[in-house]
Amino acid sequence: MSGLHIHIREKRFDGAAVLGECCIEAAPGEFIALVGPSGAGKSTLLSLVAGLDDDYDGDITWNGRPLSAPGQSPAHMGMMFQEPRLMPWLSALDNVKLAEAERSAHEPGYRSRAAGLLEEVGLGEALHVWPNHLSGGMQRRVALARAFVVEPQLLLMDEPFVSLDMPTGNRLRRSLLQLCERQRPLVLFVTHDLREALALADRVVFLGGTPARVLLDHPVEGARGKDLESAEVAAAQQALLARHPRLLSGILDPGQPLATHEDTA
Amino acid sequence: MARGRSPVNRRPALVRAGSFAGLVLVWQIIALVARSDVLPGPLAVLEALFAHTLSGELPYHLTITLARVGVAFMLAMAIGTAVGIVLGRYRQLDLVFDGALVLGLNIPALVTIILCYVWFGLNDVAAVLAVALNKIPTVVVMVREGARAVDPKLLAVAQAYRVPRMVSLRQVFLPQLYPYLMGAARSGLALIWKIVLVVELLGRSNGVGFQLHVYYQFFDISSILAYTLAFAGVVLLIEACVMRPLENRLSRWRA
Repeated sequence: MSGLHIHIREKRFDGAAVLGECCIEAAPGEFIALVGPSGAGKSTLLSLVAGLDDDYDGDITWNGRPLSAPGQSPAHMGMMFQEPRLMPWLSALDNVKLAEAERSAHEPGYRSRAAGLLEEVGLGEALHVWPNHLSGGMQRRVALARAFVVEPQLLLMDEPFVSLDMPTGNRLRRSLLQLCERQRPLVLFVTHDLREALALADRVVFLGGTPARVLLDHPVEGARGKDLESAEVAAAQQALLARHPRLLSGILDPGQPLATHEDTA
Repeated sequence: MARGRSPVNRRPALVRAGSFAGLVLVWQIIALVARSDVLPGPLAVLEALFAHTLSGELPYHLTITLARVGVAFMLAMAIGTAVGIVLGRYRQLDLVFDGALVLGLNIPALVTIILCYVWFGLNDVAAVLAVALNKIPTVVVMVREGARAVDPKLLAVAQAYRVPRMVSLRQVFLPQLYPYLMGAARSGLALIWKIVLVVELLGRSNGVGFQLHVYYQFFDISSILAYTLAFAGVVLLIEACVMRPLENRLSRWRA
């Protein structure tokens, strides 16, 4: 089995199940958006994949083998959180280098790619600046560079561009797709913005219900990197919501709430 | 930074110097009015200070006391920080040791000193140990507070990127503790040098505390004040030349 295979049987918090039976498969290089109402366990799912939480019932495998050892995160995994989560006492460069610490400790002759990546995301002038002197958009760029400095095969993004204005968000989305073009990681991108999902991803997986399950696995037509405000995205959104009016509230169809996988045609 | 030298910011220094001069003046006036052997004026004290410095006696005892302060300080900070971090991170251990900590905070310094001398003999090990034991509980309490406030979101970043333990400690964990460590260090220095004097008075035959005891028996108040001023001066110097620059360096990213 090639790629990522997520099979969660159950995940509980303080006794209450937040994730129910969840199955998601993804091929290397694929860009998958996870969409669902808040509280649907999207972030929880991501932290299970990231190895930040191993208290669950299920299997997460990569090419048939466990993705990570218990209590550890997988190698070559990049991650962006809802906040930039930079160390405020480290310069932009040192923040990115922090993600390289493991490799530079274990690979003799490892050469840092941090400065090059920061230049690539347009922060070549701000290498030695502390995060609190950077704008919100620039802080996300540092976090983006940090996510790619590990040469990710797996990239986990938890609403990484939330609360940015539209032009800043668009520039960051373009940078992300450019970096993906070269590195070709498998991306799991959590968002509550359906337009963002339809503009960026190859597939949109909808989560919903209590405990949350996969409601719908929807292939996106057209190439990645569509304009969020384009007619194409608006049309795709309309078509989807015409078929499943309450999808974003976590309800597929009043009649058959647990259907998955629609045909690609 | 250039800003620190601007005329606006020079005013606090002037105020400090002025208040210091005022204090000396009040002292001089009271000394003149009292005309007593037990309250020498500032000049007499300064004279004693010079005499003891030139004879080499004051530098000798000062150095010994400083060495004891230094060792006790390092010991208290190292042990207090380690224990504080552990108690701050592990709730169960905190519950177990909280009672002992409260007890430690409330044992009078004098009791610790006497017991250390009785148990370990009248030597420098016992002296330094007694001082460190007095300070450790307060360091633990302050560092524990800091360790509880450490942001789990930043630790998650370190975990996600597989940052090696030591790097994570230095670049992710400890920087969040620096304000608490600086607070503990500052209050620690002030407390420790006072306790060291008591320790020396009770069981050592050198050091500033011992000398103060000798001059007390001779009723030589000028010398007592001269030693006190010399030592307080050194501590102020450490505060100004080590503590404050260190704090500025560690918090410069906040600017």
